[in-house]
Amino acid sequence: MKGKSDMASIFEKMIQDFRRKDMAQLLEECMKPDVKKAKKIPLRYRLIAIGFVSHMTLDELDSKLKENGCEQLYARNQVEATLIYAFLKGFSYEEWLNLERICREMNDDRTDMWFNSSTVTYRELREYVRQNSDITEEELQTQKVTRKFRRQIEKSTTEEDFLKFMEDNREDFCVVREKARYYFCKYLCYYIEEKTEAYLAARKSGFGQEQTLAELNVLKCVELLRKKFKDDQEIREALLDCAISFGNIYDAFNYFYFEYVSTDWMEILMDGYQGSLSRMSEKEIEFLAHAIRSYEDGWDELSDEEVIQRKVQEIEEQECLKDSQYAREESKRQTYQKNRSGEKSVRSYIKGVTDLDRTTLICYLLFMGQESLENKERVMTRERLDQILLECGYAMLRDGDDFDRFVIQYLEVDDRMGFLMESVADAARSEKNFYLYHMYQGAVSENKKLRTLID
Amino acid sequence: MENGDIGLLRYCFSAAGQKNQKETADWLQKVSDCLQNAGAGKVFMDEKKDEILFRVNHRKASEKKDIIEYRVKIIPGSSQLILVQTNLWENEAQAKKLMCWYAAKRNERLTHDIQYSMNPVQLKGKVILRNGWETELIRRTGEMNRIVMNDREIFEALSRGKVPDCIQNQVRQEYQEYEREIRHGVDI
Repeated sequence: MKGKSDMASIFEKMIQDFRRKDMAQLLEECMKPDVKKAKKIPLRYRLIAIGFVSHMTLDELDSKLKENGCEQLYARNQVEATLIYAFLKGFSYEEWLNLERICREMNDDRTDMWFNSSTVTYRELREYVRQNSDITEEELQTQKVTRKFRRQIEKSTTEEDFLKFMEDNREDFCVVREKARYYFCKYLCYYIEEKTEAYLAARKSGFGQEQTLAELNVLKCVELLRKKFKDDQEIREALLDCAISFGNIYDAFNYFYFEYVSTDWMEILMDGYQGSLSRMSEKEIEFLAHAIRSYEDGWDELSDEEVIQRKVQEIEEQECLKDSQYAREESKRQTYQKNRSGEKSVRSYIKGVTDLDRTTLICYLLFMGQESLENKERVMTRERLDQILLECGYAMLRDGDDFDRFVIQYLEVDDRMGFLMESVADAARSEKNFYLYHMYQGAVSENKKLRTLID
Repeated sequence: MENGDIGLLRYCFSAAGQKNQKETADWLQKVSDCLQNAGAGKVFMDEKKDEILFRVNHRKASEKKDIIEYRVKIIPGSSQLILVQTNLWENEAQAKKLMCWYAAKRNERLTHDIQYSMNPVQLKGKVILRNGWETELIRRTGEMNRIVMNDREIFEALSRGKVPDCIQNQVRQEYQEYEREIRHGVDI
């Protein structure tokens, strides 16, 4: 942590700057499409700063955040809980800063109680979802911890009351927007459950077994499923102890939206190929060849093996070229494993390291909630998505927003896949970035970001 | 248009028809290959009817096998194929109305890509022939297998005129709800 007495924080500087202006000027300042400034201080924090300067009430600040598509203050985050209390009581920025410091010292040593080992098993994921749900009639209803916290903060009449509330609930505070993480994990569980049942049915009939096994690769279970099992229940039980493959979740997600596998995945698979097709399964060969063909014109006539060999040859030639170009910069030479950002992002969402921003959460929920044969209520609809967004403190779907309009249309058409394919292709044809291009921009640790601003 | 043009027109129509037929035959072959590769049994291509018949064996817990038969029909010009499950319960079913009632109830829970049709009750699925159709066909068939295996006992019982307790209870409950509305009066 930087020394606050020596250097005013960015947040403080901003507040001082805002104090010199009237409300209209401040709002104007916030809404300026100044890219540099926006990158430095996200709109959400600029609005909170304005809230302090213009002595907004909590309701006023919440509506201002909502109007601008920003997340409302989140009662389960320790810093944001102090902000809620501060706005309720009309604290100045300095008073809030003091309160926040006390709370931070009080709760600094707590760690997330979930997913602390390097892998996450399906059983751990399910347990996390169950522990954070109220189970009624075998359905998992989300718990209302955030609302409960908010009510308790609102009831705190004195600072002592508030500090006691913070102390009593220190185990339940989280650094990320817990509700978004919860829904991500819940729908991931549903997704895995659906793939498991599809695999079990295929295993019994011998029809489509290879495909359903490939789709179950979100669990690291290929070795395990070679064993003999007594019945379906025994398989279900064994699958619970399989580790989740973060990379394969990302690939399946990517494949769903773009119909071809990610470049990362292809590079990794190429790395595993190492000149011998015999190391790959038939399904892998077919999948990889299909992916390569979607990038290359005029390769349709070649066999799967020829497609892969030709691509490998091309890559080797390119590598040789790069090697000669960058021969003096040995240390900077890139390998096939260079970019595992997709895999890392999924791991971070589940482990609660990175906040799931609204766009990312929506995209993953559409993907994981795309189908459920026996549980129609798990399939994502507009009503359900709106409900989830509200629970997470995000704005509901808005007709006036481009991305939201795309989501609304997607949820309302009969042929969702057709609509998606058409939309992606349209964007590509008009040389525009698809909505997903913006996906990871907002996915950061909000807690870290806020602390950087105030420290 | 003059009389001399009719021959030309006839040629155009017959060429277009031939092209359409050829395309359908090509698709039939591709679909047949895809089903065989996925593990379907007894795949039979009937080019005259533009359809394919195939079977999926389903192993029960008792090790006795159930056979589900399907018919795949390509709809010319619509880029779609329709999968119909054909053999499961008696065609001359006894509790026909209850079978339709149950099928309608099930339809409420199923996606629009897979639905029961009535008279006779048959499960139908649809696959659009576009990029990735092979995966979609295998997935859709797998889903239909799961649905059929889930509903089979009830439909078989109903077709033999035996009404399972769970169906009796559901029908009575629904009837009571209608009764309640009638008794409390609904002004039309």
